[in-house]
Amino acid sequence: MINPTSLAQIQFYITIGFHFIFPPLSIGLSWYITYLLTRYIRSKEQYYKDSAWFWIKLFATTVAIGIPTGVLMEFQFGMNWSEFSRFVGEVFATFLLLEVFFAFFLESVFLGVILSGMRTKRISDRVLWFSSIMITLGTTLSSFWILAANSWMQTPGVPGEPGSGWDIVGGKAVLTNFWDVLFTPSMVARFFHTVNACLIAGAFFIIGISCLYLLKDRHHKFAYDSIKLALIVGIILSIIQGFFGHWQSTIVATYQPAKFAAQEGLFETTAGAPLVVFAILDDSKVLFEIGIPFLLSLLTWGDPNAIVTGLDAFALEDRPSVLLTFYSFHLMVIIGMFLVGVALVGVFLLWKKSLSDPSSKLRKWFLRLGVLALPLPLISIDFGWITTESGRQPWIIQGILRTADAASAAPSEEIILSLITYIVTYIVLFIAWILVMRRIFIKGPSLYETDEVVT
Amino acid sequence: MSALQEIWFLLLIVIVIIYVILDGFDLGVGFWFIFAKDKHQETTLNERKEIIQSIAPFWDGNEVWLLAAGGILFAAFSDVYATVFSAFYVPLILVAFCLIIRAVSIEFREEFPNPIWHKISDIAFIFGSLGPAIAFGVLIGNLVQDIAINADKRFTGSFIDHFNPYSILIGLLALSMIITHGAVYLRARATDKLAAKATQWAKMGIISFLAISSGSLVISLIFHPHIIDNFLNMPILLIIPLIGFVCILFTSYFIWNEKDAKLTFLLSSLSIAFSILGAGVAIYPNLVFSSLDEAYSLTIHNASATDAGLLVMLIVALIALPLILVYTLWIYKMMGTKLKDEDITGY
Repeated sequence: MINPTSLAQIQFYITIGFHFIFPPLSIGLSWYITYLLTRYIRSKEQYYKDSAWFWIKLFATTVAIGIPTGVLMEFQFGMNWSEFSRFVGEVFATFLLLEVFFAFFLESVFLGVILSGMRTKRISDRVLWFSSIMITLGTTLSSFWILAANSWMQTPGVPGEPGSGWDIVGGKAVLTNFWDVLFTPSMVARFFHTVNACLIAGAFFIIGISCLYLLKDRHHKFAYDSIKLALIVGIILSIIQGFFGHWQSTIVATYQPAKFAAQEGLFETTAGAPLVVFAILDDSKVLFEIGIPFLLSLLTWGDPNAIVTGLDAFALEDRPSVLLTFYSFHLMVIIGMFLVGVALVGVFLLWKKSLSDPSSKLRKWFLRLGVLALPLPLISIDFGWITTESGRQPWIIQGILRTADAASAAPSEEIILSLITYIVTYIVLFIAWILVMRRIFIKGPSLYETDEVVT
Repeated sequence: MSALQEIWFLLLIVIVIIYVILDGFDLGVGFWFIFAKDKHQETTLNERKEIIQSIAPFWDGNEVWLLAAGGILFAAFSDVYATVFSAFYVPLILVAFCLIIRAVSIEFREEFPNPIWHKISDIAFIFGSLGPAIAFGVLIGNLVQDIAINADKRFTGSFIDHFNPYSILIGLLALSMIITHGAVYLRARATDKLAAKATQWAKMGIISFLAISSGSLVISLIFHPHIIDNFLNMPILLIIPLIGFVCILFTSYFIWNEKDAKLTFLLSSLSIAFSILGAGVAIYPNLVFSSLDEAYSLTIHNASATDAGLLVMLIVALIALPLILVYTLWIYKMMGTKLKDEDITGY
């Protein structure tokens, strides 16, 4: 039988990995909905309101799964990770409390207003617009607080030292300076990197849906307008993402060298380290690799001959899984670069006016690519999250608390029981989500006035 | 021991009260959903759709108060959070599962015009609404008596221990409380036709509540006499259960004589508030009683965060709560008007 800690870890990966599909989309879409409603408030053109309503419905479908699967997360810390919870409560949960107070309430209360208001048509335009802003604020702040909590687990500093903002008293983490704990060294970079990823996910979602409409020859104006904006925003944000990613990587190299070595597949401490672009490796050795000489040293420390710490600097029991960290990191990067390519092609076609020209051969090819790219940012985000979490292992709080010491004493049977329940539920939820989105897609936008049933 | 610990205990009780009042009614309507008529049986009525629509603007926001209560336990009383959540692993999985299927059933019910989907969705809504109420009742029942907590603040029992006659009784008490509250809510919010039905439901609800609550009060006093200690030490506190009792009497009177529906809802909310406040006074300063040794019980003094942490959290709460209450009340005022027949759209 697998030990309870591993089971709890598997459960955590599955439940968060699944949950994490939905918040990025809700963040990305909420921004776009607010944009459309702002246009509507200014121009009073029904077109913008109809467009917004279409995305609101997709947004609501996403949030309907995102929120309750997120509720489970708050439970799970106590259920599966009670020793962690006991230790960190005062520091970590203060951020959860902030997330509840300054994010969840906004999101949930105002989503109810928008949905019921639009359906019963008993809501003024200004309240509608205001609610969309509150929802966007809620989704974005939510990521801020939860990333602050996560950043503290990644780069907690040294307890008791000035600047760390916390201490260990009587075997527990206690808060000494809120602001220091909020803005740990990795917080700002992580926030920009992650929220930008969420906005990219929103952009490619919009691109994908628009491509589907154009392929099916429906809702031309709507699809063309949507794809135009989403492509321009998408290309800018995905190029910027390269810089945010680089920024975060240098912070990882500075504060979490073991994670950095694992994500780059560097086993031996090397001067003039190459940047590995492809490798076949496992947790103990590299079987085959292609690297660009000196590039890792140059990118990380600004000097081609700089020394980059390898995994050999760490005792075996302090190393993360290279296999998991290296591949999830590289898949994230590869998908990210692929998305830049997709957006570049799209912008090029936009510039050549080929997207609105049905005779263009490239057009159809690109539209299919756009549909294919729809889920990729979400997959990339999940890989990014796996990188950051698996790279921190064997620690749950870097250098402070080991994952093995953080789990509850819950019997394996209870975890297995719950794991099976969740997997089955999540498969059903995922199918339901896709089916509902498909129906909303078939109904299409601009049916707000006549919400007739389409079967 | 510090004033901050007492303040956070009070705040926790207040948040729990708001949670039970608000989410109580939207979970409670799930019970009457069983007896509501669906369009497949009768063409003119669509009571199930109406019930969902009556809670649609609010249920999601209401549920966040549960997260707030959980967050406070985690941050301010992390030992209690860690011990209780790992001890009640199985019931809490059930709660999380219920909340997930319930959210999906509410949001997706009208998305597929398929009778089989409606059946599945309705069952999910009913179970998803009643499951958490019973599970939380069972949990509270266990906390009011005692669970096996050792000197290290860890739970040493097994999950079978949680299902004992007393905790199941408290589970039923919670259920009867929220189904009454739910019927009272429908009476105030639903269209006239459904409101008339809800009046009858409220009468059934209040009878069950009066029976179960007086029964559990007597049983609690006999088997868990420690709940009276605080009141004996400070008799003035008896005013709280007394007000609660008066509120319950008034609620019953208002329901029975079909008086003003909005006022009835207010009275029902006050009954809940004072009952929970009374329970809070009864357990103070304990949050979880240990069955192994009284000294092992988790109290607001031995299980809390430090004053520095509690102060930060208090500042956060004092900024956030007024804001949240203001916009929540505003939304209720705007979206909570009595439904008319023509309002029942395709939610």
